[in-house]
Amino acid sequence: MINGELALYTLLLCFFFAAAVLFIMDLLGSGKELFMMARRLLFLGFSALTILMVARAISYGYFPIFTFYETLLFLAWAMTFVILLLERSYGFRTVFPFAVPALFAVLFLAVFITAERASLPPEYKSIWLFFHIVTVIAAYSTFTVAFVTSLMYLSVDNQLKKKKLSSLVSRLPSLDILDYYNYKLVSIGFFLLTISVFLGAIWAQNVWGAFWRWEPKEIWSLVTWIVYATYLHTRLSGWQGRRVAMLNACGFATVLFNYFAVRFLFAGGLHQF
Amino acid sequence: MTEIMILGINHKTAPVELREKLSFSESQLTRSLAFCKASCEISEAVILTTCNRTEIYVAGAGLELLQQSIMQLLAEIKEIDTAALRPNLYIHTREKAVEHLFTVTAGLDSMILGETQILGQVKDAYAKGNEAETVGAVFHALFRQAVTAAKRVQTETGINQNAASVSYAAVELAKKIFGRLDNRTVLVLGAGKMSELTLRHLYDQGVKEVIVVNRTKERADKLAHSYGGVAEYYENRRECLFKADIVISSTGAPHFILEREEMTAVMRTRRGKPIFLIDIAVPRDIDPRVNELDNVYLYDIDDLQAVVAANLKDRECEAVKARLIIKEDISHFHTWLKTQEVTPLIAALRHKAETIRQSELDVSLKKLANLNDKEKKHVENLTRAIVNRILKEPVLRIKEFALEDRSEVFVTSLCQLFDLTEELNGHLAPSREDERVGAVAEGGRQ
Repeated sequence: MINGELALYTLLLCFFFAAAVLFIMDLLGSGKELFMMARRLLFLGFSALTILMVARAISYGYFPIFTFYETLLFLAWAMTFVILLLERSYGFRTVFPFAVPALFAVLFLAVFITAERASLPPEYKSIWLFFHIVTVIAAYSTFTVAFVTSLMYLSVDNQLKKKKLSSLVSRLPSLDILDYYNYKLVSIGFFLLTISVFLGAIWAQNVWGAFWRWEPKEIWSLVTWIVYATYLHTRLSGWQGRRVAMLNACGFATVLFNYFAVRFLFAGGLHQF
Repeated sequence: MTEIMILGINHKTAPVELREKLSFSESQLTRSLAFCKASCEISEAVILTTCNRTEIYVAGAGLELLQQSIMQLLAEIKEIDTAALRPNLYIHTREKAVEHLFTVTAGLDSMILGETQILGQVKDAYAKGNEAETVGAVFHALFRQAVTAAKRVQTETGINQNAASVSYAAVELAKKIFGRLDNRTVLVLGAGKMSELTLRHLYDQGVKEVIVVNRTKERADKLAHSYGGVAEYYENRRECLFKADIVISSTGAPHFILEREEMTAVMRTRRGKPIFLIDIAVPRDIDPRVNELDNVYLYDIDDLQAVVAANLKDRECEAVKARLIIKEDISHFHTWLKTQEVTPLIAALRHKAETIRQSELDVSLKKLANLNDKEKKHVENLTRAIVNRILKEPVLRIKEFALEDRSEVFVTSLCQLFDLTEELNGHLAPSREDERVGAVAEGGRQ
C-alpha cells in the first residue's frame, strides 16, 4: 500500500456511495439538480480512482493490474468509463442508478483484499500479458454494464406483462433501446474477450511453451466465451427480446464465477488472478 | 383599493347547453372588452372563453359595482337573463379570485386534471385584453404570475407526463416497447371506429406502414386509403402478423380470432421480435393467454382503462405538489399587490421630503455663494443622505404593515402628520380616473 492510499481510497468510496444514493433518489423522485450533483460526485470518484491508480503505477513501477485488488480497481474504473461514455454519447442516464451501486459494491469488496504490491517475476513484464489483463478486465466491465441493461430490460418487460407500470419503470428507456445497448455492449465485450484469450495464449506460448493448458481459468473463460458466442449467434439470427436478455444474464453468471470463484476454488492454477 | 373579481361558468357548474349560451364569439369578445374599457366601474378586464368555461376577470374599486357591471355586460352583449343563470355561476373575489385563476391556469380545474391546453388559452385571453387595453398594472402582474406558476407546475411536477385517455395510453405503451414508432408497422384487424381513433394517434407518431384487414374488403380499403396504407384479405391475416409490430384488433367476432397456439407459431416465425397487441373488441378478439408468450404484450380494453385510471390517480398525487407550487406564486402576487397599495403613499412621502430638501437647499446655497462646485455637490449629497436615512425606516415599516393589511392606519396618520393630502390627491393620485372620464366622453361622442 502506498502512502495516503487508504485516505484516498476512503474518499473515493464516499464519492461513489454518495453518487449511488443520489442517483437512486433521482430515479425515485425528480429534480434535475439531484442528477447533476450525483454525476459530479461520480466524476470526482472517477478522478480520485484514476489518481490512485496512477500513484500506484508511479511508486511501484508497473501498471496496477497484477493483483486481485488492482484488477478490482481497474474493473471499477473501466465500468465508470463505460457508463460515463454511454451517458455522454447516447444520453443514457437511467443506467446510473443501476450501475453505480454495482460499482460501489466492486470497490467496497476491494476493502477486504490485500492492497500489497505484486511481486512480479521477470517474465511477467511482457506487453502480451499486460494487454491480456487489460482487455479481459475491460471485457468484464462491459459485460457487467451489459448485464445491468439486461436487468433493466427484464424489469420493464415484467411490468409491461403484468400491466402495472410503476412510475420508476416509466422513467426507463423503451425495450427497443435497452435491447440495442445490450447488444452493442455484449458485442464489444465479446470482441475484447476474444482478443484477450489470444493474447494470453501467445504469452503462455512464450513463457511456458504451450498455448492452452486446460487449467480451470482457461476452461471457464472458454465457457464464458461460448455463452456469449451463443448470445451473439441467437441475436444475429434475428432473435431478440426476453430470451436474449436471459442468455446475457447466464453469460454474466459465468463471468462472476470465473472472476471471483475460480480463484478460490482452484487456487493452484497458473492464473494468479 | 383595487378589488379583483371573477365571474364564471364551467363544466362543473353547468351542462354544455348552458355553457354554449355564455360562450363568447370573437366579435362578442371584442365588444365586451370595449364595454369594459368604457365602463367607469371596471378598471381592468380579461375574458377567458373555452369550450369548458367562460370566465370574466375584472378589477375595480368596489365589488358591488363590479358585479353589477358584469351583469350589465352579460345582459347587453349576450342578451341573456342573468338571474336565470345565477345558480350555475360562480363568483370569487379578492384572494379567492386570484387563487381561482392560478388553479385554472395550471390545469387543476380542468376536466382532465393537469392538461396544458388551458395555459395557452389563458395566455390568449390575456393577450386579447392587452390588445383591447383593458389590462393594467394589476392584471399584468396577476396573469404573468399565473402563467409562471403554471409553467413551474408543468416542469416541476409530473402532472402531465402520462396518458389520460385509452388511445393515448396505447400510444404510450407502444413507445415503451418500441421507442420511436417511425419505422413500425401497424396492423388493424376490423375497421371499427375505436380502432380508427387509436390508429390516428399512432399515425400521428409517424408509423411507417398501415395494414388493414377486414371481413368486407371495401371498408378495409377505405380506412387503409385514408392512412396511406394497404388493405389485405381476412384470409391473409397470419402473414400480416409476421410483419406487424403493433396490432389493433376490434372485430365484431363472437369468439377469439387469435388463439394462443396460432400466436406461438407466429412468434416462432418472428423469432421473438416483440409485438404489441391492442384488443379493444368486446367480446375480446385475442385469447388472453397469448400474453404469457415471450415478447408478446397484450392489452385489452380493461387493461388500458386500468392504465388510464392509474395515471389519473398519479395525476392527483402530482396535483397536491402542484397546489403547493401555486401557493408560493400566489403569495408572490399578494405581496406585490399589497405593497402596490402603499406605493402612492410612499411616493407622496418621498415627494414631500424631496420638495422640502430642494427648497431648503436652494435657500442655503444662495447664502453660501462662495462655495466651489465640489463643495456644493458635497452639501447636496449631505441633504440627500439625511433625507434618505430618515425615510428609510418608515418606508420599510409601511411595506411591512401593508403585508399585514394594516396600512390604513399609516395612510391616515402619515397624511395628517406630513400633510400629504395634496401630494396624494394631486399629481400622484392615479390619473386613470381622468382617462376614464375622457374615454367615456369620447365614447359618448361616437
